Amino acid sequence: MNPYIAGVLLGLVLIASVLISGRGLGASGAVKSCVVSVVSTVAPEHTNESLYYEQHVNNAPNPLKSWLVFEVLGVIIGGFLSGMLSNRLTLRIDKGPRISSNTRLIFAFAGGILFSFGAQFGRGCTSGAALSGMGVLSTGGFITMLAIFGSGYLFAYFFRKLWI
Amino acid sequence: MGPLVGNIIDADFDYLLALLIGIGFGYVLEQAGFSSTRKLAGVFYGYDFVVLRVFFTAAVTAVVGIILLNRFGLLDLSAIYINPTYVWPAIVGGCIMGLGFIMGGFCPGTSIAALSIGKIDAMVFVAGLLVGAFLFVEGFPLYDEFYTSSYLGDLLVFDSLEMPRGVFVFLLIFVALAAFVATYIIEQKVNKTPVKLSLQLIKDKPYHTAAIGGTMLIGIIMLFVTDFNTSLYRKAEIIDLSTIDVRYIDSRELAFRILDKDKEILLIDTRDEKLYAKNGLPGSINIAYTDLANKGWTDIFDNPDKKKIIIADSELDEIRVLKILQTLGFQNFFILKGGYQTFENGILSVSSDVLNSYSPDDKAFVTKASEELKVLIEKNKNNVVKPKNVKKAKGGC
Repeated sequence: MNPYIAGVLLGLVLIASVLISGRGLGASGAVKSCVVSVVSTVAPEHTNESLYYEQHVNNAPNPLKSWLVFEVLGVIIGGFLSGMLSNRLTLRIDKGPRISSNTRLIFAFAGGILFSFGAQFGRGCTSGAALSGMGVLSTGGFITMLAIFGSGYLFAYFFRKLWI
Repeated sequence: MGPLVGNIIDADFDYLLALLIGIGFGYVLEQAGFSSTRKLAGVFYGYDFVVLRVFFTAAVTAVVGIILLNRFGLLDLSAIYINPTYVWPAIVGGCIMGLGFIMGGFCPGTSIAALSIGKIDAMVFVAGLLVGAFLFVEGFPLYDEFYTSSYLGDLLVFDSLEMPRGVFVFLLIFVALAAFVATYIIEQKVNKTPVKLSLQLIKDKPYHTAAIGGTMLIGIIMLFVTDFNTSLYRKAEIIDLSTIDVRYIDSRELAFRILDKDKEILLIDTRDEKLYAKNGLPGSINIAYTDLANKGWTDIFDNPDKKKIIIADSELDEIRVLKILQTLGFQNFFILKGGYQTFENGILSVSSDVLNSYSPDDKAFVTKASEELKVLIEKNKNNVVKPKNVKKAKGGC
């Protein structure tokens, strides 16, 4: 799809989200909800003494019953439908030409950990904080966006072997 | 006025709608090519700028769309979630995310879209996300103070930069377009098919040129689009009596009804706080002119059981209030003939000259009313009614 048309469509999805539910899109928050929910179920005694649970989780209803969790389920369905319609459903690994699949997976795992960790401080990731924040003209959204992409360019040199 | 959920749509449907919005989100992400980590990483190495194109087009579209929805009275900006600003956590978090982006080749949203079509690296990235969230939560006591530091509230970016919203949006659109053109040139160069900048390029790409022109036009229009409330008050400055249905109640009837302890009337005093504190009428509610659009007053403006009477300093001000309330969709108001000034000069603090011009019956009534009203006004002091708290949408990750 032409990237500008895709951009307009993505913008329309974001507008719909704000118009309907009064909030932007997101992804990292749903991941956290899953983790919090699992830990609460597996080790309830642990959550009673943990500071984060005490401040941010324990008084809230079931963390899985959240807007973001349903939205992310939708992302999985929507992505799947798109892949199916465009014949892109295949099990595969995308990587740069100079690294092995194992290296790619190790870095993907490490990158995921970092992204998720950073997203907590940024109050969201590229979608929840940067894109949605920019959409509603939030200062925090713009700062997060500049920090993600700005630092990405700084780090890009050191990891160039991964991609080019 | 939106947001629709909790307003027009029942809150129970919110999760279903979230699922549908997510389907749209996932579909577009995948169609845009964001399920390919090579494309995503390309933005940092100059061989593929699809991320930048999609991302900034989406952001600009959303900004323009949200502003227009508000302008036409379809979206209440005070009720939507504004991402809060925590300056240093946003910077540090953003840098950690930038590192994660370069190493992992995805961001959370794109990794989930990629996972759904079978990308194994995306699945591993998502596993990393889960571990990262777990580590954050477990290590929280180490940085709980930093986590909530440098908090500036629901700050808006044009306020931070001290410029009008329209100017900021215009600049944003201009910068986005400049970035699209610049990255196109860089991309062609990196991929060894450099373009020559000339008039021929504009002729060869008529659609692109038209799109750039059209987008600039939108940018210029955005310079002049005010928010709904501003335009509401601006319109109220222009009064055309033929378009407004005005019903009056005069000073004397009002005085009589107040003294009669008439429960049918609801007095809405729209003068500012100071004037209201001086001589607000008994039983009246003070809703300042500048606060009329506050959703917290809906129950009062919509009250079907009472005769709602608008009071302002002058009759003209009352008609302005009436116009604003009608634009907001509220009906059935009366206004005090001549405004509070007439009420004050004719009854409350009536001068002996004026009093002597009345008939003996009226004179007796006004004299008595003036005395009794003054006592009641004293008693009424410090009667402050607060607007209902308006629910703001929750959001964030």
